[in-house]
This record gives sequence, C-alpha cells and structure tokens, in this order.
Amino acid sequence: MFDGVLQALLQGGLLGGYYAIIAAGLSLMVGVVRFINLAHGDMAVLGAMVTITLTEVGGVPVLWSIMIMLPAMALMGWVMHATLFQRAMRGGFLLPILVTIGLGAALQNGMFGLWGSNTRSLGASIGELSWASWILPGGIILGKLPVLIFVTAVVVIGALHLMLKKTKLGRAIRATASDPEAAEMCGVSSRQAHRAAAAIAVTLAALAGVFLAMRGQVTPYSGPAQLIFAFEAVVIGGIGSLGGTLIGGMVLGVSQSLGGLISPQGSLLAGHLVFVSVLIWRLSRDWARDHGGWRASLAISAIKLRRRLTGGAPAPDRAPSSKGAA
Amino acid sequence: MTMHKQVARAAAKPAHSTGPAAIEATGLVKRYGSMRALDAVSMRADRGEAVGIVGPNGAGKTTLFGALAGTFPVNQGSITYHGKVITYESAATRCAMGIARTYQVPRPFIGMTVFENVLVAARAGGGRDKAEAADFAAHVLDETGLMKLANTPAAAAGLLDRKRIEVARAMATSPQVILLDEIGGGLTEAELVELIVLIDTLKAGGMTIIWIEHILHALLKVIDRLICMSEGRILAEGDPHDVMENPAVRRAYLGSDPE
Repeated sequence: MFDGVLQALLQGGLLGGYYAIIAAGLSLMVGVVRFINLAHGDMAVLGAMVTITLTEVGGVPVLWSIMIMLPAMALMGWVMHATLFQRAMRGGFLLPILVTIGLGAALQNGMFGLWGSNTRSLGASIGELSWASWILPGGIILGKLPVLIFVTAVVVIGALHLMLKKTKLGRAIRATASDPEAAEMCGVSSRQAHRAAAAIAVTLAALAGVFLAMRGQVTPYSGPAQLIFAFEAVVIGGIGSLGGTLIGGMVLGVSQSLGGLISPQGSLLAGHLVFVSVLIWRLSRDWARDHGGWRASLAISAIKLRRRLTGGAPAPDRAPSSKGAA
Repeated sequence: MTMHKQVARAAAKPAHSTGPAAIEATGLVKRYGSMRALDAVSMRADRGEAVGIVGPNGAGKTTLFGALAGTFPVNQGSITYHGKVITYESAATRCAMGIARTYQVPRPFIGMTVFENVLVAARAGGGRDKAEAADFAAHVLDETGLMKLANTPAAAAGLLDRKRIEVARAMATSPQVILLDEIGGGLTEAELVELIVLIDTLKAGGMTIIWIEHILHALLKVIDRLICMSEGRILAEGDPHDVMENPAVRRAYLGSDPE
C-alpha cells in the first residue's frame, strides 16, 4: 500500500512536468497578453501531428523533427497574433472567446481532414525511451521518459523565467503586461511584445504536444482535454506565476495519480476536484479579505442568515417611530 | 454655430512660424462620439522652448498630449516633429524619435524594480545597447534622486518618487521633446521646489518642454510661453503674464471676471 502511494506520488509529480509545459504557455498569454487562447490545446496537438508526420512520412529523426517543428509553430503563433488575436482583442471580452473557439474547431477539423481520425503516437519512433525505466530501491519504478519530460519542464520554465527577468525582450514583455500604453511611451512596441509572447506560448504548447504523443496517443480531437488540464494547472498554481505553474502542474498530476489508486475512473475526477477546491478556496479567501477577515465576515454572514431564516425582522432603527419625527 | 467655429479656427493658427518647430500640431480634431475633445487645435513648441498649458478640466489638454505622443489617433490634422510628419507613427516609434511623456497619475511598471523601470526606457526608447543602457539608467537615477530606491519594487514608491520615476523613465529615452502632464499635482511645496529644480535642469540641457499644470506659480517659474485651452480649443497663447491677464482666460480658467 505504502509503496503504491509512493509510486503514485512520484509518477504524478513527474506527470506534472507535462502539465507545467502546456500550462506555462497559457499562463504567459493570460498573464502577459491578457488573452485567453481556447485553441491552445489544439495547437499542442498540431505540434504533435506535424512531428509525427515529419518522422513517419518524411523519415526525419525525431529530434530533428522537433527542431524543425518548434520554430515553425513559433512563427505560426506570431502570425496568429498579428492577424487574428490582435484584432480580436480590440473587440471586447466575447470576441477572443468566439475567435479562439472557432480557431480550435478549424484546427481540429483541418487535422481530421489531413490525417484522419486515427490515434497516432510517437512512442514507436523513440524506441526504448518510451518504456525504459529505472528501478529504485523498494521496487519503485521510475520511467525514463517521464523523468526526461519533467527535467525539460524545469529547464524550460527556468529559462522562460530568466528570459522574462533578465533580457530586453523579457522586460519589454513585463512592461507591456503591466501597462501597454506606458510601455509604448518608453519606446516598447506593445504589439511586438504581445506577438513575441504568443510565439513563445504556441511553441510551448507544441512542445507539450510532442511529449503527449511520446507518452501515449493523440487524435485530432485531443486538444480540448489538454486545454482543460492546462487551465487547471494555471489556476492551481496562481495566474501569472511561472514557478506556481510548475507546482500547479505537479499538484494536478499527483491528484490524478492518487485518484487513480482509489478507482480507475477516479483519476480525472480527483484532478478536477482539487482544481475546484483550490478555486473555491482562492475565491473565499479573497472574499474574506475584502470583508474584514474571516471572523468578521463569517459573523456578519451568520447574522444575515439568521435574519433571513426568522423572516427578516427589520433593524430597530428603521422601525416606524412617532418619536423620530421631532 | 458655423461662424463661431470658423472664428475659433482662425484664432487657433500658430502665433509665429519661423523655421521647423521641435513639435508642431496643425488643426487637430479628436472626436469622442459627438463631443470634440480637440476642435482644430494648432500649436507649436520651438527647440529648447518651455511651453505651459493651462485650462479647466475637460479642456482637452491631456487629449492633446495623447495626440502628440501617439497614444490616441486623431480624426483630422497633422503633427510634425522637426519638420517631419509623424501623424500616423505609433507611440513607440515617436518615443524612439525623441518624444517622451509623463502621466498625471504615475504609471510605474508593477512587478519591476525602479531601476528596471528606467532600464526598459533606456534600452527600448533610448536605443542603447545592454551595457550602455545600464550605465545611462544609473545616471538618470542619480539625476532624479532615485538611486537609493534603485532596487526596490516600483509599486512600493510614494507619490513623489512615483512622479520621479515618471520623469526618470521619460529622461531615459533621451528625448528632445518632453510632455509633462500635471507633474506637480499632489506634491507638497518642498517637493514641488525639488521638481522645479529637476525640470529647470532639463530645460538648461536644451530640451523642449510642454507642461500641463494647474499649479501656476510652479509653471510660471519655468515656461517661456503659455497656452490656455478651453472646450477643445486654444483660447489664448503668448507671454505667460499676458495670457493670464486675458479676460477670456480669466473667465474660462479662473471662473471670475477681471476686476
């Protein structure tokens, strides 16, 4: 039993690396560009499909396929933002949602048209990496691929953090996130900063898609589920914090694998429950903070509830009074 | 109504036009729905000149700054910078060309230190390379008295320091024209004196200054020429004391008839 829990914790934590990569791109878009790309998961699947095609049809080695695919996807992110997202952002809050849902549907059906509905995988192309593992003392199995994905996640998120913190582009992106107009007045083109962020976000999604296809299978319709996982990791970790996104991904992964111990169907459910719990906790914490702390806000709520239950007795000073007229 | 507008336009022609101005606006119109925030505004500032702008709230002063800096596109009219038409250039491009502005309510970049705030401007707006930008940002922090706060978060700065960050960021872009939007508002008298010293230094360095300010005595210490705006138009411009004595200005701005 104990071994099983330890195994689940380890596997879940490593799975979190995958969630962190796909979530980091979403977090960047939400936190920096203030744009929610609902086609983020579909872009991950597109990255996977392109890599699989290059490898299987083109005969390009997997690593080279990835190296070709990632810059192409970055370019696509840049162009998407310049042509589509930027315009959608000017059209109020509803337009970005409609545009990216539409884009997601177009991507899904486009991929279906090109590659059919079969499940596809990179598992066969990466040889023994897909199943090789280390056996730790106590019989704990540590898959080499999950470790590789996790290490990549830490490196990618660390590099992204350093880029935002230390480079000219990173500062331009952060200045734009804080105040696009003031950034313009400092000579930063907010459009360029947004396009760069979109290019990075799509690249990260595509990288996550490759790992998804290495770990298992993808179909043209796998995207929306990945989007939900990415959102959950972002929300659990706290929007706009890259370190938080890594932790959020790990919490999601661990919840899912512990849920899987309880029942085979429990895995996804446990992840969603943890997400909802964190969301409720965050919202109620903010509510309490805005109402003078937990104790005061709960006391007032109790009084209001009691009044409602007892038929809403009017407050004493509002009662009609003949003395009040003088 | 038409007559009235024509008169206003005629009156809004620049007072003098010898050689290319540092920045010149001609016939700017900015509409918000049916309201004209700028109604055919023409103005200019020559190289090294300090121009003050006064006027009641809603006169279009900040809108004029937005138009000059490139944050609000205008509906009509043109803007030139050293004789070059910049009406359709973005704010970032105008900043790189040498036009900087500060905001009435300071807008520091949250999540960055004071130094980083200035560094962004030195690199992107000033077009400096990495090492040069860091040195220049440090120099600007020295000049604006912010060095001691260099590594503290900009969000934690008090009002005077936030205003200093505004000026420092603008200076870091190495501007030739600086637009100051009510930089003196909300400061104590002593703080105001420090700020005037700083602005005087800029002026002594040959920078063109356009300064919107409600605190007249501060403004009058620095400026060479005064413009009074009201309801999107230029009511009067010229020698600061003459403008303040103008009966129309006194009615619009001070809300009182001359005795």
